[in-house]
Amino acid sequence: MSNLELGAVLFALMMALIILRMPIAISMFVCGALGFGMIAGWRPLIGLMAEVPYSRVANHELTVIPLFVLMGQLASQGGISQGLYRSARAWVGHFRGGIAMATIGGCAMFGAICGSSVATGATMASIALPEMRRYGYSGALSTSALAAGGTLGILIPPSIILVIYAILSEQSLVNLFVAAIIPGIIATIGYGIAVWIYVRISPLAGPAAERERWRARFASLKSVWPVAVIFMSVIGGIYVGIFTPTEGAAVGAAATAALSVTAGGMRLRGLAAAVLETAKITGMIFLILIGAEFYSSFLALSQLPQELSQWITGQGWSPIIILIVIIVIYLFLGCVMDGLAMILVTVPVFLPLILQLDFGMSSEAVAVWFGILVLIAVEVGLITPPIGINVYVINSMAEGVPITETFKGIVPFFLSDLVRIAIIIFVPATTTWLAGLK
Amino acid sequence: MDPEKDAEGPAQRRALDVGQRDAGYGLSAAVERITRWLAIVGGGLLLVAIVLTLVSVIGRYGFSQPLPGDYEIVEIVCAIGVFLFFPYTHATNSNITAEFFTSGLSERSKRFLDVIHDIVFALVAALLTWRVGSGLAGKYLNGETSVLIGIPLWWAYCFAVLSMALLTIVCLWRITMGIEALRR
Repeated sequence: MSNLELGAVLFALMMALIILRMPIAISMFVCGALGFGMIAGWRPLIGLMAEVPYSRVANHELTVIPLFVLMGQLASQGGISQGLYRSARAWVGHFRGGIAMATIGGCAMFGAICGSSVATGATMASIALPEMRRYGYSGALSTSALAAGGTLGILIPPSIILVIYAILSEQSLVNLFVAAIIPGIIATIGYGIAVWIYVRISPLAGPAAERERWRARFASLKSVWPVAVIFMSVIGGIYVGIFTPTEGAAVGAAATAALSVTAGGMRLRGLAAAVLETAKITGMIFLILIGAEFYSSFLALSQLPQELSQWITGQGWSPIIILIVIIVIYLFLGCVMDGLAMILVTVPVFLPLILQLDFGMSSEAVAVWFGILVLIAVEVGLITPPIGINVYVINSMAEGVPITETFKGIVPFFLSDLVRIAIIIFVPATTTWLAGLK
Repeated sequence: MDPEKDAEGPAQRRALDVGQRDAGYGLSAAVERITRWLAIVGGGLLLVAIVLTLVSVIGRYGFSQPLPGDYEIVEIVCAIGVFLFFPYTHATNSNITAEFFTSGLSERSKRFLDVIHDIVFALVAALLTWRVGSGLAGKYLNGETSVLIGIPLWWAYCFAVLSMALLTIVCLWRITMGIEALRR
């Protein structure tokens, strides 16, 4: 069997194990280790196993992951979301559908200090759901706005998925974070427009609330500015080079903890809950990263990605069509696979191909642009059936709303996602301009 | 589904659950308690890393006196923290699986698959315990240290070995629980 065939067979085996619900970390490890041993020899494999678990975990670029996860969990436990939501509601609540728009806005602001989508959606839901129910919003609109709004958590930096992509693609994390800012703003506006269209079509779904006075609106900003300061100092500080990403994450986590204690009344119990949740998520991520290290070492040895990209570039298809096909593949994969696993399995195969194509930009710019597109595909996977996790989590928190209602409500938000993907594909500057790439 | 409910569910109910599994009482209680405490210690190490980083940043800008080797200390402290998380992650069943494809199977078939996966997982974890252990022996013998401030690497490797060994035990515990449930 040639290395290439071996690569294809083991790739298929890995997918089969994943489908049979073997933990993804172990599926990647088993196939990666087998393939590596068969190509490079068993002795080198044994040597690799002695080094990889430690070297993968003790890696300075990855140190940001536990810190950003902790920062997000501290924000969730700390009751910071309440003030953000109240403020957004004071500004836009009096429009038709305005409280759903405020939910989107609150999620966007919360996403600026939380890098996880499920946490963003679930944290916001505990405050926004009762409020939307009180004003007679339909179950479909209120749950879908939260599920969609929650996805802003991974798009707006900090973003755990982008940290992983940065490692896989060997790109600067700073560039990726900065590149996600404009798409994050487009997403927030796009979801706002989706709510606006939603209540045009079914006006009863989101009645207007009473108008707040200007004085109250400005007063409500007092709970927004600390979050804005944290976001600006973490992301801004990393951007202009005051801190490294690890230092930025540590500063952000410390500031969020301080805010949670002072403004949100977090105590030891809340801190312990945040730590335990951080432990689960971080352990899960790093175990997958260890498995993925074996898998990608094997994939590189098998030459499968190179052969695939040579074959495809040899067909003379237009680069933009190839890109669109890959994004469509991601959208389908996102429907049935966890986003983190999807990225670790596919980016080592697709990125070398994308970098071979000529988009008239530097390879750095293309890698960052592609990274944001993949990130958005992961986001979409969080709200599409059958496994859209955000939809299930939010729905489980809303009593008496059937899951089908929530999925129906998702449609305008999903369409807004597709429009955003198209905008970013045809205007790459939305990602590269702020990062200063050409 | 609700992470908070999971993290601090009523102590009473948990005590009852554990009490009913009389065969595995001692082991289950021990696994749950030890993995949770290690996770908390790991979280404490993250907090230590955060404080060290802050001290270093303040030192650098306030007194032009950064903490020497802050990079390395933070990297190693965080790594140890993450290693302490692994057993807890698996003990709370938080590793990602693609559940969609098998969602149509009966509970029994799913449990059966999970037992098989845990057997594979146990073998992998045991293999890695052995290999990282030999890595530890290597680092101890050649005296390798971190580049800037000379922290002996074998020291950090100890936690990696501990983590993999506990992960193996957690897998074995899950296998016995799974088989017990299949027998019923």
